[in-house]
Amino acid sequence: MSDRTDLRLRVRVNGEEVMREVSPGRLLLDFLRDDLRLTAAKRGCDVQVCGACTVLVDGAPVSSCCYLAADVDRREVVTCEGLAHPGQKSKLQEAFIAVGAFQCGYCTPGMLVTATALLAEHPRPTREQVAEYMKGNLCRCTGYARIVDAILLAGGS
Amino acid sequence: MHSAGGTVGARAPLLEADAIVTGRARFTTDLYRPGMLHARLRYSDHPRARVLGIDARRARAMPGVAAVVTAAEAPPEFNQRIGLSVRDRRLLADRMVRCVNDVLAVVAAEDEAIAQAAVDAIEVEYEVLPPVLTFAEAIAPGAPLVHEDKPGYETADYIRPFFSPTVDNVATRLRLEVGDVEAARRHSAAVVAGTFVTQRMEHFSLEPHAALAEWDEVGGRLTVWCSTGKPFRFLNQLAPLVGLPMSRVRIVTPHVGGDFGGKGQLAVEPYVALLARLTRRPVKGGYTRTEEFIASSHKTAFEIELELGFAADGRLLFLRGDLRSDTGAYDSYASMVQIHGATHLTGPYRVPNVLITGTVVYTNNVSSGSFRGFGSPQVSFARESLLDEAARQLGIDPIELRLRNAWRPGDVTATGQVLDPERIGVSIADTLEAARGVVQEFSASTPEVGGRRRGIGVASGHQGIGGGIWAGADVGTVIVKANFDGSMAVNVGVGDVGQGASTALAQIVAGELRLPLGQLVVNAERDTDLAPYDGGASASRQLFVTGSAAQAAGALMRARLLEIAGQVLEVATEDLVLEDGAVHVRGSPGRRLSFGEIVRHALQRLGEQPITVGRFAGPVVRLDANLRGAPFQAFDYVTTVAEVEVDAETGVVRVTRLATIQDVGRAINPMIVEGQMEGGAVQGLGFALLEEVVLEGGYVVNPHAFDYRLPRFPDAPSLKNVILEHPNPRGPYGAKAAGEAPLIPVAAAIANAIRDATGVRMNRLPMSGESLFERLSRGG
Repeated sequence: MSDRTDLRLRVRVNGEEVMREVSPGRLLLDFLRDDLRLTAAKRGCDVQVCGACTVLVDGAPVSSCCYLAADVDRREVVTCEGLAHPGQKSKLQEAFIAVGAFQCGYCTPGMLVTATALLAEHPRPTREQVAEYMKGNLCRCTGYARIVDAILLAGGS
Repeated sequence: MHSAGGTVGARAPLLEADAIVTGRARFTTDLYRPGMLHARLRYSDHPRARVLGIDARRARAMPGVAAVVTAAEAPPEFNQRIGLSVRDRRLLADRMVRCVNDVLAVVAAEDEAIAQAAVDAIEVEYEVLPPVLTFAEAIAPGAPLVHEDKPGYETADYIRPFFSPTVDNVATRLRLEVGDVEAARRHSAAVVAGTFVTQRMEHFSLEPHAALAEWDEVGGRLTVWCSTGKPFRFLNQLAPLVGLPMSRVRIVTPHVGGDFGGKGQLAVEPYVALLARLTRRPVKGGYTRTEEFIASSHKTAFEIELELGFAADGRLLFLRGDLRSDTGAYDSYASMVQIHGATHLTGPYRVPNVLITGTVVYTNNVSSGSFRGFGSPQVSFARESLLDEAARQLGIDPIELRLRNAWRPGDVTATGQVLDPERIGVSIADTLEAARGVVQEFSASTPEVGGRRRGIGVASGHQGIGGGIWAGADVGTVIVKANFDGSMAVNVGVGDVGQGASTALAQIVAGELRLPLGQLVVNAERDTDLAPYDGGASASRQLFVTGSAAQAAGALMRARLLEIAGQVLEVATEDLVLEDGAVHVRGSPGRRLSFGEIVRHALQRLGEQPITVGRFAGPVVRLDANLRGAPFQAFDYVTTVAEVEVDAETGVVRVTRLATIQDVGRAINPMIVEGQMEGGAVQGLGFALLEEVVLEGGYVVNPHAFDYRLPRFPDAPSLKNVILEHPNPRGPYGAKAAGEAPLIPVAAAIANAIRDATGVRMNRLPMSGESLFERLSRGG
């Protein structure tokens, strides 16, 4: 729904400059998915608990389901689609595949985004650090152990 | 047995792996169609009320609203009563609402916000009636009736013998009797008894239910993209509701984000289908997380009264059990769950005298039904807890006690199914023997520290394989088509909900053809127009049933390629071998034909594209009214060892280690099997300690992710997987199943570990820190 109070938003998404009109109340998740058709970030809980909607804003992981699109004006957003160049995979993405760190894959984009931020902050994390940092991302399929293994593998620990 | 050429048994990544990690895997919610509308549902405000009037005028007048539909406007076929077991529910409630997930109206609008505003603008006038909320209230004489017309309801033939057609709130009753329990009680040296209560649990697939429907006015066809592991069952259920033959309804499932038993019955699909037809525009709809808690069903809660009698040497002499469950206002799967639970109540143990009774009632709560394990985790919690108590009373090691009673080849189950080693295989004892070593390993390490008490517990379980218990037969079909270049297209109708079915089936076909996995493609979407019928992801059936069909299709293709190659090379097929995508003449290096050459020859000279159809038919003896029959293709066997630390001050339990020892027959892909074992173990931990959907007055009190405690990263214990491979005589490459079994014994293993640590026997799930603290401060 567009109305007269739309804002003019300028944002860098996955390295590309984007200019769009958005309503002030538009959620970042809806902006990314419905307006830009970047659908890797998923709606899972609507209340910032499950982490499926996680994206990076200026390098920090945020729950885009509870974040206003207006608040990324003149900032840099990275979604799971932007973690590697098209046709390529990051070390972390490769590690998720190598150890089997996903099953249904719905939580995986959010996991990868949070874990990318984790490895940027702690390049060689311990198992405990991983569990603590990742606790805002829920997975119902795997039992978590393999996700921790994948992050440790990518971190070279 | 034909050797598998390296693909069977390989730790291959999922076929979907690249799409998933790059965020490009498309789930239903990721699909958009031009001109698409958005649907929202208007639910009842009360658990029980008479509907006096629905006023949707304000909603209809809102700009951007394309349609508002109540029962009054819906076509007659949409208003028929529906239900898998009992036709007891209407998609649009008219005169009565029986629970807060009854739908009164549906709205389609230009965006979700408008649709929701319209839903909120619908005014409903009720005469509020007192609800029926508990099992006891439901069976009390003179209780208000949840369904006044129940005696006239239609039932599925498998549920008819159990259905209560009288004017009361009972949905179904069951009774299974073998031998003479009373006589056996008189001869028992020890009798243990208890009442165990399990909770309602939410599936919490990370992907909520979602559907997108499109009506093709010219062709008269309806397409529904949706999130289920059972596309053909959805086709069967949906077509009559929209008044179309199945040939005019097409179900497509893109990536499915988890199931766990929660996506087996229609949810938003019929509503978006109806709206798409009426508006002639594509309509997308889905549940929010809160709706997942209210509108989709929960794991059926069980109250289990159980009594076990033993001879002095530990032999089980009798089992008497009574199962009580509340299905909520509608019986989708709860009766089936209780029946399945009853068939699994004895566990994988020889019990000569058995008396099991069960009752499922209707209440005005929201629905309960299927969840991974289908009744087995509930009954395992009761039985394995009592076996642990019996071991203490008898002074026998708990593993030894189970071994003395474990099924052996030739034994007969309580339903009368013979454990014929030529067909079924029996290996529960092997999992128990392996568990001894794990217990020793756990006992040897980690001393107790500070105020923490440490304990170890063991529990076992089994799971019947195959959906024939309801259908009478379980059928799978797989089609393999040879491409011009010799690569293969595999066409399946299986449900892949993240458990890796597509990958495992590809490995089986590749194994038969000795072809690298990269030379096969499996249809990524299940499209009911194109794929062969399949019962879908349920009942631990997918790998056993459809995997057998995949092996047959691969074997037929191998035979056909050899036959054609033999003609071209003028060599008897016995002298030919398949390797690396080519047929070689034995003993003549260099004399070979690639699969591509064979296929091109077939197309150009024989006028034939090699296409093979592999089938598996698994007929069974269905359960009769006395719960007697031989309804399973085989059984999975599993033993879990849990190690816990209990904070003696607060009662908080931390599971430090969980080991799953499971016989899967053959691990087609050990990485997938381990994933199932680990996921099942941690879901079992949630069942044991953390999760509960709380109902109050017919409402869900905690329908949010922040109020419902799912296991998180820090809750996950150290996980150990022990895969046993005793090949099943009939499974593909000896494989059975993997997904349901590992969840089954976890709650009892943790309860037994808590008992070991504290002396307290917990008989109610979840075993929260609060409830254990209360027991500890009462002194056990």
